Amino acid sequence: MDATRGRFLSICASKAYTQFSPEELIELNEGCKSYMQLKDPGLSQAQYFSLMEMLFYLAVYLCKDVEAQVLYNTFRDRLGEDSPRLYGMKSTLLQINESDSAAVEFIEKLIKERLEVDTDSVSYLLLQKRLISIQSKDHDKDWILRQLLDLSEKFPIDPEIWWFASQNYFELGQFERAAYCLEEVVLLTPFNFVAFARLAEILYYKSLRVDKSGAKSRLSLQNALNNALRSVELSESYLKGWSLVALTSSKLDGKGRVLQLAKNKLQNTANGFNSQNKATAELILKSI
Amino acid sequence: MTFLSTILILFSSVLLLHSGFSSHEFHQLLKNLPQNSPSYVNRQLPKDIQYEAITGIILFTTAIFLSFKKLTYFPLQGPRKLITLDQYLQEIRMNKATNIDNLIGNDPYGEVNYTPNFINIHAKRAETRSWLEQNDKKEI
Repeated sequence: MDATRGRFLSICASKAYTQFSPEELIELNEGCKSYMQLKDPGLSQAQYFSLMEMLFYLAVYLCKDVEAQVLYNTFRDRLGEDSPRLYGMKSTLLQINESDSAAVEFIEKLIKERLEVDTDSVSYLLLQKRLISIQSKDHDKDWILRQLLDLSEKFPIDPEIWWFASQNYFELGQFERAAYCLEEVVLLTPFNFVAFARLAEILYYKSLRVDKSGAKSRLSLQNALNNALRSVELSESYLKGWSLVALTSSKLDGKGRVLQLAKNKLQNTANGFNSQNKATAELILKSI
Repeated sequence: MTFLSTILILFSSVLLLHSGFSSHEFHQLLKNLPQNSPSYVNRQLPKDIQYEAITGIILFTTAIFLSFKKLTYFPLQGPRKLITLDQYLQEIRMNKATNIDNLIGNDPYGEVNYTPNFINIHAKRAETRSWLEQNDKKEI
């Protein structure tokens, strides 16, 4: 029971379900519902509500609109409507039941009438993010980036904005700006080993595709290696971190020992429990 | 909690409660003695009560340690295979504490790194619809 509870709570806390495939979403939705029917005594009330919120978004992703509405009504009746998460859920419901413009209208009205002058910065930030997300399909990446940078002026210590900006710059091929945004993320979340590895990855691509001169390329590679090493310093078995250490050190002169260490670590992962990591590690070892 | 640890916790609790009650009784009796009597001057908790309390504490601590189970995990994605590393407690050092996250495929900073507030809902729903159509599932 502990392992099952831990799995659902980890998925819920990390929001990993936002990245799941439809098949995994269906499995998670059914598994989580069955688990909640067991009424596990080890599940606190706050955790119970978190799982309920996850079930709401799973219902939305799986096009179970009636179920999502019922879950929202349960939350509204028990907790009231004035909460950042309830605002987010309501805007999502408006998006799927009515239209994007209805959701935009709801958010803009709420911001204009209350949140712009209120002290509730959590709701304001969350709804601004939702607004950008809803409107992004009608605009290009430059527009999204302008909105994100405007928002980061108001909320410079929100790492999610910087991460999303980095993602957009990366998709535009602007590696230097993407790296700058990720540097902001690692400043705000200094133990975020995933962000360090991502920064290393972007610098690696920059050295391959942007830097023309050899010296500049070597500097970018060295920076990529430093960030990859910081990533594995924070998390010693992080596969992506060690893969980037191996990749960057194989392209730099005089890094034979680092490369050998990275290969050994990748070999350990290839011999480990996780089947996905095993396959990835084997593939990387073959390619280096 | 194992059967042995449950028994030990119950037994040690009885010992602790009994030693506490005995100590209370002893001090009640002591109060009734005149203050200049030799028994009052050399007042000290009897050895048997002291030993009982110490044994109770030792047994209670041992029982708590015995109640720990080996930590088990399920991977977040992929086949549901129970993973155990023969550990009773989680790692403290940061670089080792995240080993479990890597093993089960968890990103502890997912709330930032997955950008959940910027998810395109319509794209997710369209992906589900097309998957369901491909798999001939009519019920949505």
